[in-house]
Amino acid sequence: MTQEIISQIEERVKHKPGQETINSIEGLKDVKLVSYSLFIIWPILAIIALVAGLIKLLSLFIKKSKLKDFSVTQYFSIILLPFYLIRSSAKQKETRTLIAVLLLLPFMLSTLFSPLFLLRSDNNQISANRGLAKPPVVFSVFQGNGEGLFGTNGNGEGIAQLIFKGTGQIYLLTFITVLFVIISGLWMGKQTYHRKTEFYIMGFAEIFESIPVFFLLLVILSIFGWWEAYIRESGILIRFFFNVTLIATIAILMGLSFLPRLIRIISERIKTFSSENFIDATKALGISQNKILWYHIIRKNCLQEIILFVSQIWASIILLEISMDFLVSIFPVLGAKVYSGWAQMLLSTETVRAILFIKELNFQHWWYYFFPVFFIITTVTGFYIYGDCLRRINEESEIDFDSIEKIPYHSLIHSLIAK
Amino acid sequence: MISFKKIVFILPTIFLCVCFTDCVKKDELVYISYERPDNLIPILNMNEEGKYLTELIFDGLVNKTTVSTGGREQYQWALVSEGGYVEESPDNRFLLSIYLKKGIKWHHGKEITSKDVLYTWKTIQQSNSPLKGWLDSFIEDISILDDENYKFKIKLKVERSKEAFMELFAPVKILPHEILENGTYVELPYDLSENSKYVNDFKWKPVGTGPYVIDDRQSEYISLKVNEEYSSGVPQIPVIKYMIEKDRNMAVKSLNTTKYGIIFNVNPESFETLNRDRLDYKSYIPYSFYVIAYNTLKSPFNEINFRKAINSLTRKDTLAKAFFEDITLETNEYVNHSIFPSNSRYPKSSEKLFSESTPYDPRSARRLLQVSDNNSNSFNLLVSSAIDGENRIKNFLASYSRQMGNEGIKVQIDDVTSPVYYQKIRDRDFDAVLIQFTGFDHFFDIRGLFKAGGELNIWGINDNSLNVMLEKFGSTIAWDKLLNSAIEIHSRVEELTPGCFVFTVPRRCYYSKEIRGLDIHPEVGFSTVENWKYNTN
Amino acid sequence: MNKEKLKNILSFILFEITLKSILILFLTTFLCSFLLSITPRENRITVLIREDASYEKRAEEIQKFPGSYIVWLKNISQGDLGVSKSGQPVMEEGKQKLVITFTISFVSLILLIILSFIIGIKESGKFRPLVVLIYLISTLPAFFLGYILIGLFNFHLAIIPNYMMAILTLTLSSGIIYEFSKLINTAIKSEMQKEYIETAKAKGLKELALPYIGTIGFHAFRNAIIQIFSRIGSLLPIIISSSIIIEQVFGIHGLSFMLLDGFIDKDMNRILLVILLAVLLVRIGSVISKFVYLLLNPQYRYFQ
Repeated sequence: MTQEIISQIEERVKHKPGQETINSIEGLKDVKLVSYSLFIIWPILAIIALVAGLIKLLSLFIKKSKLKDFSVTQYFSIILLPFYLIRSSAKQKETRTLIAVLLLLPFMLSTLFSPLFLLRSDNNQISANRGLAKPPVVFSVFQGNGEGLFGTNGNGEGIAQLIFKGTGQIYLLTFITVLFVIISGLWMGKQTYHRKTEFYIMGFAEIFESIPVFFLLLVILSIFGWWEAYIRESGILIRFFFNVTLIATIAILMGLSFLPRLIRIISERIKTFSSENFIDATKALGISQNKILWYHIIRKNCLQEIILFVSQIWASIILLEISMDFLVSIFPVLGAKVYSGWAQMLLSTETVRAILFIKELNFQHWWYYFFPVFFIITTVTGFYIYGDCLRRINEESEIDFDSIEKIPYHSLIHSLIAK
Repeated sequence: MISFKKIVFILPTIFLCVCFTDCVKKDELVYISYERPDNLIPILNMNEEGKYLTELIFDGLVNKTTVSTGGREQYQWALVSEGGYVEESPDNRFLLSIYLKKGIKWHHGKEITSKDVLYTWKTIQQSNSPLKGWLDSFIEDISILDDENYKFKIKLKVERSKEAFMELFAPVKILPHEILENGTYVELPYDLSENSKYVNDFKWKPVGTGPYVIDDRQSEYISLKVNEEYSSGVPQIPVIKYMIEKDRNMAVKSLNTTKYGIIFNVNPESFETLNRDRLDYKSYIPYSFYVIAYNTLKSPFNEINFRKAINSLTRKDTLAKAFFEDITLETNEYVNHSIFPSNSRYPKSSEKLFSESTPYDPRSARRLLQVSDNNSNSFNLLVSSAIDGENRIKNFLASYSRQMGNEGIKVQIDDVTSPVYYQKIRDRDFDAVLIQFTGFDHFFDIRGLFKAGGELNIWGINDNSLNVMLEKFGSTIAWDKLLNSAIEIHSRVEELTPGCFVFTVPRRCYYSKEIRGLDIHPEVGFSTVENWKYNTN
Repeated sequence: MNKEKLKNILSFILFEITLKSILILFLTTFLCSFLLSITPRENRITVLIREDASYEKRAEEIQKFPGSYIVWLKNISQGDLGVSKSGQPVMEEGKQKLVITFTISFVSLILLIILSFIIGIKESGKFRPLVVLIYLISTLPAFFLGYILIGLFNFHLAIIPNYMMAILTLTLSSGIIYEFSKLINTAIKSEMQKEYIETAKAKGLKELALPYIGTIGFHAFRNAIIQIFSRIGSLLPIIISSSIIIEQVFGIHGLSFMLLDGFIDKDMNRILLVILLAVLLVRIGSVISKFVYLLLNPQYRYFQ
């Protein structure tokens, strides 16, 4: 009798710790094969395609003779671009460009210094600082942990390090999306001129206009979140390629949501310009249709619109990225990790609690959320105002490039972009 | 027209006034939870939140109370009349008659009869529910006579055991027989393809005899209102609102804004923000704990002196402090001095009987190391920081390796991802492993831990005397007699030292101070509604 | 009605509403089911969830592609959208949640349009600080603004004020206000510089920019709207995709919660339904805006 009781009680279903085995998870046998094919072959092909496209575009836009004319100092002067812009706009009493550039300065400077922080990470210092959340101190900016300038995290990571690393990561992602958007958008916009392809391209644009981005992003993030658990134990090469594909797929998805706008802009511009007189003249000269579209219409007339578009979407891509990181932290089921340093700070429990209990006026950990919020507001408003200025330049053409002193960078950019 | 000056002065005042308003009614009790209840049919397998709700909506023959006498639960007859538990003639020790109370009504107005009990038992028999195994172990049949609506007979398999009856059958919630007629029975969830509409409705609009009735069910909350005709007296709280907040920070915020609120199952990370003036807490007997398990089949841990030496070198206080670095806890809440950390059935005074045989003592450790045949001074520790929270585990590991390093023993840490971790545990491919047991119930899981071939037996123990003791432990249903066998098992395991039980992860239930007299039990929730009182100011 | 207009409307209905919408729905669900077949069953978080016995049954094998997708299509053609892994029919759950997201997104869209029109038209100096404040608030990320509102007001415990806060954050932080208001501003300004406004002024209409009847603003507004209406269709997907975030912040049980449950259980029915409904919503909005544009603009030709 007792044996029966015992055996029947033992059949009871109860809580157990998860005893997972590798064999019960599908696909691990083919992990290496799939990871090598997915993460090495694809990015190589993509990089080759990108480089080829870039070379072709550059060859269309910049004539070789002009490149040779400029000296080395002129190229390096591009690094000092923001300061030149400040000086020229102050001289011309252009308050709006001045404000825009001042707001964008922290972002620009941190992108310049971000590679330093991407590589260095002083783990000894971090472990020594663990458990201490230090407020900011003025000295020692560029130590490995960034301790001092903006304070430290609860884990000992310097906030300056997180911010500068974050700007580098965000800049990389936005740069890749914008590149993708411009390259594919230009090509597709050009194709809308021909009636056969116009239907398909406008349909394509409408399709990607109507898909909400986040729904698909979540599905993709879950895939990458799973792979990450296995990639952590592999070599540096696979990890590098994994990161590349992750960034590239996210960039492509986000870029697909902005493509339709660019296509519409370019198709409208082409339509307005194709009925002008000078096009008939070029046709009479015997220049091919392709060259007319690329050079005479887009290169000569559309570039300012494109730059305006870039300034508009750059800010929205940054915000999209941060909301994607929020989604990743809210959906921990996906297993993915937060991508950028800014979001890491904004979504830490200390900041969320400080904001939810804001009525109690507890500013104990103010440096956790002040700096990323400051950076976000300044960059986004800076890009908005910059776009405003560009629009004014397009419409009213108040800023006169000729009256500005001949400084090397101005001549370079002036020759590249202006009419 | 609105002038700018008006905007400057009026808007901020409106803003500030609106800031300080509250949106919750005064007489509501808000229960904040992270998960939605699976379903509200009590005989199905469900999560904790479902259990808490069904305790309020349904009655069993007996209701558990949380009035503690020495830590044990008490029972209160709810549906059975006074003197209704009748054991038949002394010769026939396998029959029981139970008499129900008359006049107890379901929430839809009809009276409860013995037919409901019979049909409840029948559905359990036909289902895959875990209750089936318990009841089958000592009940053979239940029968009713046609003209007796308030009496039923139970035929037992085992000799009469009132304790088994009270523990296993009496708390089962009784369901109305309408849903169970005509052969439509309720199967376990995820297989409700041939359900009737009534059953599907019942799953979310249950009908019971309990003190509360479901009033409204939205996706964000479930509200219960008082059952005015409850037999044991109407409770004082008129409305209970059950809110579902998946975000932990938002749950903390909600509790701080309500006047009468409860939140269960709070993990240590949230203790700091909840330690505010308006809130009080009760600590659970914790049900999850960390163990450093030794592989007794492999060197160096196959030798008992080495195991005892390593145990004597671990300082549990510092390890726990490294893990709970930023959380202030009282030491008795988390430091583990026995192998039965989750123990709701033993009286509190018995905790001293479970003591550690290898406390922190470096001298005895050195002596044991000299005596041991094993000359090794290093071992591997298998860990998966991906599971538990990377920073806490890393602090723990740093502290542990430092402790061992001070005595000349090198610990090599093997930090892997979770699938590899579990594979290695299954293959016993480790020297020592840091593992967390959650949802641990000492009665049901202790045999899996230490019995030869048990599921949780990761240390590879196979001791004959221990096996015998564990079988005896499992066969006693009377909780009074369990204590002695538990002490025996404990002392034998301490002799074998298969591992180091490091610390437990406590959980708390936070509630607003305006709720006085609330007794909370982790398995039962809050079931005694008569004891709730508000501040009468 | 004109013969051409009839032809326009009919071709619009044929191509836009039926063909394109079906194509879009088909493509998106196809893509999603493909991606879902690649997603793995387990990751480090689901391993934790599997401790609970009730979840053991939910973790079934990955459904194979494209067989399961074709089966799903067949079921849809018969009207049966399937049963989720917890036993509840998916369509009922979807209906409740669709209504919630529908109300939130459309109300916020209307609010956004009204707000941006007001900001775009009224450029007087009195309201400039308010407008600048709104622009600064719109630069904040959505969840941050949501948390600030929850911290300041204790409205998240009652349903309607919670929804109102959610709508407010959706309008302010979707990143559209600045662009849209500038669009309106430039459109109206460019309209005001045209010749027919001068004749209207000479005729004696009031020189107010506001679109009241009897001002030049009325006529400028009417013609400016034509340029803008086609852009409204593109606002809706942004709002619906940012509604995921805001539903999570405020705890509103809309489509995002269904998506989350679908990810936990790896439930194809739920995820595909959510995507279907989201794309449907967006499609409805764009179709309506295009239809209105078609009716308003006499020069528009909807050709293949």
